[in-house]
Amino acid sequence: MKLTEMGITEKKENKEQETLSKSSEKSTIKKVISNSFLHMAIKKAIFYFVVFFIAISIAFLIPRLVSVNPLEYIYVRPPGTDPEAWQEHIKDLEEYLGLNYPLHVQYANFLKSFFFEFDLGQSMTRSFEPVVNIVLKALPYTLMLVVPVLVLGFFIGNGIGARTGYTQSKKDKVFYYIFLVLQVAPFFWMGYVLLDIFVLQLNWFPWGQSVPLWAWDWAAISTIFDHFWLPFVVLLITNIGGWATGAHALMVYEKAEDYISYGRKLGFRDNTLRKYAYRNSMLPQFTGLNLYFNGLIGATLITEIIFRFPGLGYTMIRAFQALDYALILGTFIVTILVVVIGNYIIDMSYGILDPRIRVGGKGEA
Amino acid sequence: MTKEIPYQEELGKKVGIKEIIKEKYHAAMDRYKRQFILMLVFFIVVLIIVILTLIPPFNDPEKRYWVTPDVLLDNYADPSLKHLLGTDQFGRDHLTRLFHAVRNSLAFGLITGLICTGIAVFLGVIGPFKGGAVDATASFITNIALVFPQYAFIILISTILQIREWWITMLVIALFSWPWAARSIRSQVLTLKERNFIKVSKMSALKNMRIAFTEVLPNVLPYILLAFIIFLGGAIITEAGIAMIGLGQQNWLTLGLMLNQAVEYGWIFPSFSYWLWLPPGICLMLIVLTFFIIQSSLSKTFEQRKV
Repeated sequence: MKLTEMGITEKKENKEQETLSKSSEKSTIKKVISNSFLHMAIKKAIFYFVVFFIAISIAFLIPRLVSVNPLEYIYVRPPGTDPEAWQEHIKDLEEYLGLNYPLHVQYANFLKSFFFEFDLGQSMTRSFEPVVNIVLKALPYTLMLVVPVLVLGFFIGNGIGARTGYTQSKKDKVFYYIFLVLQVAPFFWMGYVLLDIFVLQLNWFPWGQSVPLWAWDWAAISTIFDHFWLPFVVLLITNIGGWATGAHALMVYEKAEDYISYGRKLGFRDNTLRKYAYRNSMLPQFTGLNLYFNGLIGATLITEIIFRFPGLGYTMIRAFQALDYALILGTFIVTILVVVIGNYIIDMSYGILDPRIRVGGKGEA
Repeated sequence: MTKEIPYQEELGKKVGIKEIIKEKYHAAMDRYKRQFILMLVFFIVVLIIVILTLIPPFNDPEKRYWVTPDVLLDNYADPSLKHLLGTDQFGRDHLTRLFHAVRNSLAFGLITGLICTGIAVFLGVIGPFKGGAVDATASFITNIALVFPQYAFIILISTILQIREWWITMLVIALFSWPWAARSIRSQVLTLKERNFIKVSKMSALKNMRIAFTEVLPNVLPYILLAFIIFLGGAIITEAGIAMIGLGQQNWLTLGLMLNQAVEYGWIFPSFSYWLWLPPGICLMLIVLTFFIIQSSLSKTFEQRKV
């Protein structure tokens, strides 16, 4: 066993050496790193594609496994019409939407139209408007909530948490307890509390009115932002709490490391040492970014529903209330797409930030 | 060689299991006195609430109160001595409903947490021990489920299924919240597998699965406990979130269902009926905060033990 294993590894090493010797123009180390980076990028891309494929397959199957004909739900026969004629009308509609085929044909059609034409079908309740148009209108609203909350929450939360964890003074302890409470405060409940105070009691913000489409126009933008502040603040507050408590705990460990006490004995300033500790303690937080991102997407969907902010979540719940299956599926697929692309970007940026991951992507080389 | 002498002496000492437990208990009590007190207070409060829901003034959450017999419903009453937390839209005592909701929420979290832990332990332990294709599929499923957006799936399934049964909400939450625990348990098992006592038990020709469940599992137990507590808090809060926007189950009176009814009935129409939404939210926060503190102090102990 051992001999054969050793033989295999030797062969591998030989191959690597050959490839290394071929690339003689640039410095070999740089070449290896870029190769392994590319390797990781492709590997991750394939993985996320598989995830996406499985997710949309499940999302396709679930509504069809439920034995309800959506068309009969939506198009209730008006009184005084001929029942047979109405049945024919519904059958025509089924043919038009491609719902009369067996399941596997429907699935193949769905995949074909999605991957080659980016067509998600037509909304049954919004006068057969293509779902893609509706979803693309809703997507900017969701992104304008998710991206600033993700970036601002990460930096503000970690900054504050690292500070409270490093100094551990009494003033900072008060801050820490505030964030501990904020971290466990359910965001949906906070949303309703803020809504009650600022909309219903103080009447500072509009709520439940139609939000205009994105346009480079002062009136439209100011109306959008009037609707935007409350959900943004709710999401930001709850996210800052989570990051801050995590960074606090990490910083407490980091402060006990030897290099900090050595640096202090050498006479470094406290601020400088804190920066070093901050940088080292950030890496584990970065690995948690994926899970946080998934949670944040879900929180954003629910917050949109609460504040009637017309993003993906609100579109989804409206589609649900109208039983518009194509629209539910469409919003869901775009949500998955956002999650998958976001995760991919986070993974890749982590690979850029931490060189160890890049080399690790090649297998234990 | 000189280093081995104290080790030898320690071997020679008679150490019974009772003494070990006593020592560990005192060490834990010294360090985590506040957490123990918190846990004790929490359990006593929960116990009192559970007992209160069984005895007369609080045992019926559906009982309606009337101002004049059967004519004028005593609904949206302000908090007073008769109704400590006021009444809701149907004239039901809110404090009674709150007790029942806390009990049901905890029960919901307990069952969901058990299901989650079961899945996580099964996938985390079976992979490294079966090896080969089983391991590959188990870790593949875990990795894929890790990036699945939990909330989006929960919203999708609970919108489409259209059935408001408690077990559906429970299954949906349980199915999408186990992956991170499966991964961490798997990594723990992988490190344990290289330890000597596992090798010895392999040499003594025990079956793989028996080693996994009698030798490895007891050593991963603290991590399983930690995962279970996190699942418990998470399940309670997720259920409340789903229920509050009206997609959750409707047959158990949980904190989320109470918040949902507060939103639908008692929030816009009578001006500022704070007693309907404030107490359930605070209860939710207190429950989750308790679990979070227990969880974080537990994880601190394990970190220190590793170092």
